[in-house]
Amino acid sequence: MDLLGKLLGIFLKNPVNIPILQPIIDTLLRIPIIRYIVALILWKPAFAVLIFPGLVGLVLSLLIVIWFERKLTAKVQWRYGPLEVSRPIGGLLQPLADCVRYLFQEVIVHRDAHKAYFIQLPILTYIPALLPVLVIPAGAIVAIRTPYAIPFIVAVVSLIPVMILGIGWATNSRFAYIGTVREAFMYFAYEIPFIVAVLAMVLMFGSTDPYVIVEKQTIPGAILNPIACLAFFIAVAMATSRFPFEIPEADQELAFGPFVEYSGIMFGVVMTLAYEKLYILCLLFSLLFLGGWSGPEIPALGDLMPVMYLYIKTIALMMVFVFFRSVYPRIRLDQALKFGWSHLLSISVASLALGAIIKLAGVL
Amino acid sequence: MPFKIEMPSMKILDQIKGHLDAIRTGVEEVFRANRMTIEYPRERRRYPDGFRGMIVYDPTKCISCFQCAFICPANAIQMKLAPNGKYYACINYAKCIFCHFCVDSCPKGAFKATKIHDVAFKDLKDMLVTTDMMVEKPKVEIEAESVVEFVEKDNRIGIRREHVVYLKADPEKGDLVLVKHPVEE
Repeated sequence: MDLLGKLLGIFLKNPVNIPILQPIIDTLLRIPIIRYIVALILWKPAFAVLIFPGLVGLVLSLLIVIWFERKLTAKVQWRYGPLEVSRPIGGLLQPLADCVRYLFQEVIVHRDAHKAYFIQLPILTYIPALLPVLVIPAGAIVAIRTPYAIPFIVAVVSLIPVMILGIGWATNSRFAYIGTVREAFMYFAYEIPFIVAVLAMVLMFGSTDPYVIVEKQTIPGAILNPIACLAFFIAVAMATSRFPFEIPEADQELAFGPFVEYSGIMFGVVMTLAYEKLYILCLLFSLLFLGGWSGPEIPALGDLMPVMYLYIKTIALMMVFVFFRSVYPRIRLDQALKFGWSHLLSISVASLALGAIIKLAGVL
Repeated sequence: MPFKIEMPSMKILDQIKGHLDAIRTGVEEVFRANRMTIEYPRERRRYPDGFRGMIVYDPTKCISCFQCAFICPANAIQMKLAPNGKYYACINYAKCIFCHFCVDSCPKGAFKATKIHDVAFKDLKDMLVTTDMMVEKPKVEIEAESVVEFVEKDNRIGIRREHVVYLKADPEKGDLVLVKHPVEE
């Protein structure tokens, strides 16, 4: 009991402050066992990992964005999209129903697969996909506060394609092989412009600390350095294989490329990988270019207000990225490589130059 | 002789314009009421006149000329001997391709087309529809609440929905009576 009391003391020393919900929280904190759970969830580092930008935020965004993508594409193509599951709310529960279906399907491991890696790697890929959540702040809520958050996010996110290459190798089938090679090619085409675009913003703000970056954005970064914004935007579309760069996965020709042999819940896991990466990169996009969690003040929400602003910006960005599925065709690998190595790289280098000019002019 | 197809030379401004055009079209389609899906059986399409559905048959007009059986490309019409010594047509819907050549070829107009097309048979034997079963229209149970029509407006195809209500006039007979708009079946 002494230990629990001590833990409670630690949790309550740094709680999330929500004035509008304070009476409910006070009531819950008086109930014997629930008080520990509530205190843990409201402890700021735990809140960052469990609620936002962590687990709940991620799952909710997956639910909303996958549904929105299917619905929007259907609307543009004169159809209805998912509708029969939960008809009154327009089929919003369809991704959840898909998830349940994946859970009850058999996971087939084919004979040629390297079994241990085939099963392990999709789950291991979650480590680089979710680690950035630890250092992404939303106002006062952050799990680990570090001045090196931006390089950490970029470095960890860059590991995901390596894992996907591993998945393709472990799958050991010809479609997976083609998809993996395409992924490798694309990796080099977007990663350098992506890092250079981030570098341009970091150079401009003179810091890699998200708090400093958000504080300096009285004018959003997208207006200060639109070239970097454009380069970052296209690089994100390439990195998360959105259209028109959906080249490694290419459902029509390669049947999901590196993930072709997965079935059941393992397919669900690998399919959502791109969306998780999109979530992380959209968080980074909002931090660097859209002023992060800043917005009009709402005192009643307290610490929840920055969370709300950052989440709304992220979801809106993800919706923009998935919208391209309905208007663009898929371009060929050689076109994408040519674009990535020539135009995108030159745009990002120009953005670096612009960032340096703005820094030298002393605007910030 | 081999030849190479050149890429259309597009300047950078044309390319940007093309991208913007694509995005504009997408956004336009998002906000335009454009859905073409007909949610059968919640709603039904209004079929045009001359729709080739199931066939009704009037044996009193029939002169047993066998034209329908001769012309049937799927060999779906069988002529059966009736007690009065005449031959009358039976249609095997397992074979029928709904071409309505029989309707067109009949010199006395004994066949008549209906717009009923969504039919279910319980087994293969039931699909041979005999003469006495073809005299009356088959019974239709309609669950649809609205009738849908494709219309052209401003050079774009769209759909128009009309809300209709079907009521069971006589529950014992199971006849369906339409209250507002005729569904023409």
